[in-house]
This record gives sequence, structure tokens and C-alpha cells, in this order.
Amino acid sequence: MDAEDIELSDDEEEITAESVLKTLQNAWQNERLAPEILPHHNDMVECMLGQIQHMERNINKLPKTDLRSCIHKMELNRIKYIICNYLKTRLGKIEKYCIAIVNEEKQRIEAGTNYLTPSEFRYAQEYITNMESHLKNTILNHVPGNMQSFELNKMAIYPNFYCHVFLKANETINGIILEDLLGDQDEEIDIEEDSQHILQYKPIADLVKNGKVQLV
Amino acid sequence: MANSNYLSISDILVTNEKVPCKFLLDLPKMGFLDPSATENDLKAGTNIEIPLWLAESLYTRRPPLVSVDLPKIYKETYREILNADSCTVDMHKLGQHFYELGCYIAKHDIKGEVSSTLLNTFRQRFKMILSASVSTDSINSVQPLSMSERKRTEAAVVTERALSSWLKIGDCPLTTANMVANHRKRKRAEMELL
Amino acid sequence: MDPFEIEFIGENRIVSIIPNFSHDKIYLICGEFGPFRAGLPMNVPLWLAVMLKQKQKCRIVPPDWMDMEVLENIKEEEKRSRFFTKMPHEHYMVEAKLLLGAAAEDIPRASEVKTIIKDIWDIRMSKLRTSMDALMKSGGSYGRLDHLTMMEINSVKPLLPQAMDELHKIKMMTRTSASATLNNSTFTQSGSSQNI
Repeated sequence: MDAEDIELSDDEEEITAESVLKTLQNAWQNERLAPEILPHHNDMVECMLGQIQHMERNINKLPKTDLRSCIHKMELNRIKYIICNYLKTRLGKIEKYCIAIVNEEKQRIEAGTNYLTPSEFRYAQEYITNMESHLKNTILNHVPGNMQSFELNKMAIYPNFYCHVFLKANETINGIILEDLLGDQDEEIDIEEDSQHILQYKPIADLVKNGKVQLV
Repeated sequence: MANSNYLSISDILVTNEKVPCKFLLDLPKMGFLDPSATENDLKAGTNIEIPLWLAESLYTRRPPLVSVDLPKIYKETYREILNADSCTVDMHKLGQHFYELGCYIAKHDIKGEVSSTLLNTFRQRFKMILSASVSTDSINSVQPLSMSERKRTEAAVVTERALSSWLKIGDCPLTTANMVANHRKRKRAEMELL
Repeated sequence: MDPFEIEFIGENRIVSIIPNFSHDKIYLICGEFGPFRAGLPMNVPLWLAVMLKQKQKCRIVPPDWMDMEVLENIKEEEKRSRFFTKMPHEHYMVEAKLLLGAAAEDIPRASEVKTIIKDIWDIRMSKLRTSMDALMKSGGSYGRLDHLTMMEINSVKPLLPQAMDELHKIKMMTRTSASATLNNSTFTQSGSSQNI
């Protein structure tokens, strides 16, 4: 019944199942609370799914009455919830912001900094195609010719980077700039480790992605 | 920006609100826009209320075909009332889309005071949402709110309900008695406020 | 987030139990726990503690802070302070609710403890309302919220962040430099239908 340590590849340092779970849990929490789609953690998801399978095989070998069996099942259900909800949250954002996400992702793929997994990207593209043909079949094909044009980019919905989020600082960070729209006097704040704040997402978006702050 | 995407119904409703406009040129065959007109043509100098989406596209022509005036809720008289105590104003009657329409209309205000009125009003009236969201008799407290204030209140009520049902559920019903007492207290506090 | 999801997150917190059975270490994905020795205290995650308690496999060791004297002090401090005071931990309310729910008999003066925790919660919630109003009045674009727990923060969503978003939107759209253009797409659409 051992949740063995997992090696991702030979040249990377060994990581434990525990640390993978922790990372996934933080990624889930951030994904739920951030307005935009965040860089994927597919390696962690795959790794954890493998771990779950391995565990499930072992549980099946245990006698039904064994106390361990229901403890392990409970834990696996908890982890499955996190993974499912994480992936569903991402799909929800992909559907809502599909046009914006695909446009931006194309540039990111070129730069090698993609946020979506290959299958998520495929899903996003198919979603757009389906939406377009749905709108054409139900409406546009039935209206006068001069109104039939379809401009995809006009329909784009963008995540609101100016929305306000709650965060907890994992480490001390100096010099976060808060824009002052009316007075032109931008304010600069420092946030200490473990302090909590509510502020705009935009100036801290990168800090979420590199793990210096956690959204709460 | 939230709520102003292409298919946003609420944005379409806001841009459908009527604003007072003055036509600057004679417009042949456009007399139908003015319900009181008897002629086919619309004369320069006519004042009528037209939907914002139309006003805006006529205004942005070169040369502009109309000048846009402020709806009365954004004018000096109301601005004074709003700046003094915006909580007394019934937005349900006077400005269903007060903030949203205000954002669009602000550029037609020569003095540039609409912006600060919007901000002050929003800040002052926030406490009305706060108290409406925990109020037990929701109808009265929600009544004077604008559309978006109501939406905000509804969302806050959902959170409030979810939290109090979380507190009540399970084997630990510690909250019931306290919650009732609390609601009464809040109701009283709210009456003092309004 | 739903309060039950915050509870779910809080359930990872480690608590002490005294098992009434013996068993080797168990190796969970979230860490290894045990060995279980009947009568000897040991640490497990809260979700596991509650599960074992429900199966009558253990007693709960009350957390240090779930003590009337400690709680009286916290309550006094919370009343006296203008700011939020530091709670025993991030998920005190979740831990209280679950442990008092599943294991009231293991906690001395459980009903008094329940009441006082709820009092503390109520003091903090009313402080939270006052500070939300103050935050909006003082500008409404930034706030520092030390010592608020996740459940408390969640209780002001979406109201507070959305109100701050809306203020920002008003500022942005009414700035004289960048006067608000109506949602362009809507307008072009309306414009073209006029031409017919």
C-alpha cells in the first residue's frame, strides 16, 4: 500500500506524491479564483492519475472489511474531486473566453510558453468551430445576405484583469504598483510574507503564476 | 470589461435607454423620429429623446448630426441631491441603469462632474446593498435600488444563505438561536439607516 | 467558492486523536500516518479523524485552543481591538464545526465552547461589514486583510470584489482622457442595420 515516490524523469529531482498533491491543490485553488486561465499543470495531473490507479489496484487486493480500504477510498475520492474540479474549471474558462484564449495561445505556442495542454487547445478550437456553425445554422443563414457576415473577433469575451482578488503572500514581495486612474499618483506597496490583501489581479498575475502568492 | 460583451443582454438594455438629443441639421424623411412632428422632414433644432445607441452613432458622424444632453438624473439639480445623500434617491424609479448609463453619458457632461457623482453615489449606496443583503424583509430594502445594485444584492444573499446553511447543517446546530437574534438586530440597524 | 469547499480544504488540517485499535502505519498520498497504538495520541488529517470517530474507532483530543479560558481571551481581545485579531488558525471555524459536531462528548464544556466560538464569529462578521463599508468609502481599490480566515473572506464574495471592480470600471470609463466609447461591436451592428 505504498504511495511510492515518483520520478518524473532521470534528470529531475525526485518528488513525492505528497508534494504533487500539494501543488495540485494550490493549482486548483488558484485556478478557481483567478479570472484568466493559468498555465496548465498537466504533468502533475498525469502523475496523480497514475498514482490513483496504482492505489486502486492495491485496494482491490485488500479484504473488504479492512479498515485501510475505506480510508484509502476516501482519500482517493477527495483527490479525484480536486482533479475533476480543476479540469472542469479550466474547461469552463476555455468555453467562456474561447476566442481570446485561442488567439493568445497561438502566440504562446510559438514562444513555447503555452498555457493549455494540447488536448485543451484542440477542445478550444473545436468549441469555436461548433459555436460558429451553430450561429450560422440557426440564424445567420436565414437573414438577408448583407447581414450574414460573421466576425468572430467581435464576439470575443476577455477575462477581466482589473477584477479584484484576495491573496495571501507566500513570501515578502516589494514594489507592487497600484495604478491610480484618477490622480495619476500610482501607489507602490510591499507585501510581507503571510499577509493578506485585496487588490487588482493585473499587477499580481505573474506572482500567482510563479507561486509567490496564493489566491484565497 | 464585464457586462459589455457583444451578446450581453444587460448592456443592450443600457444602450437602449433614451437620452435627450438636439438635432443640428435638417434631416429629410426622418420626421418619424419625432412623435409630435407633422412634416416628413426632421428640422434642425428639434429636441427629442432617442435610444443611446442611435444617439451615439449620430453624434460620432462628422459633422455630428446631434448634440447629446444629459438625462435629468445626471443634471445639476440631481447631482446636488446625490452628493448630499444618495441613499435617499429611489434609483428604481429614477435611474434603473444609473451607473452603466452614466459611464456612457459622462463624456457629454461639459463640466466633467458626472464622473465624481457616479463614484460618490456608488460608495455611499454600498451600505444599502450591505444591509439589503442580510435583511429578512427583502422587498422594502431592495425597492430603491438600481438594476445592478439589485443584482449585487441578490448575489450577496446567495452567499449569505449558503454560509448560514453551512453553519446550520450537520451535527452541530449551534447557530439557530443566535442567527434569529442577529437578524432582528440587523433589521433594526437597517431601519435606522434608511 | 461554496462554504463546503472551504470546509473541504480545511479538512486537511492535522488534528490529534486517540485510537482504540492498533494498526501499522498507513501510507496515504497526503503523507504517512501511524502507527496506531490503542490509547496513544497520534496525528491525522481532520477528515480522517472525523471518519474514524464516526466509526467509533477513536477519541478526539481537543485542540489546545478549544478551551474556555483561551476562547474567553480571544473573545475579549476581538471585542477590544479595532482590527481583526489572529485566530488560532486559518480554519478554526471548520475545525470547530466538525469536531463539535462529530465529537462533542470528547470536548470539555462543549456547549459553552460552541456558544463562545459562535460569539467570536459574530463579532468578526459584524466587524467585517463595518470594514467593508469603510473600505469602499476610503477609495475602494485596495485593502489589507490580515488575520481573516478563508471562510470569512469567502463570506464577502462576490459582493466586495465586484463592488471594487465596478468602481474601477466607472473610473476607467469616465476618465476624461479616454472617454467611454460604447461597446463598439453593438454600435457597428446597430449602424449597419440602419443602412438597409
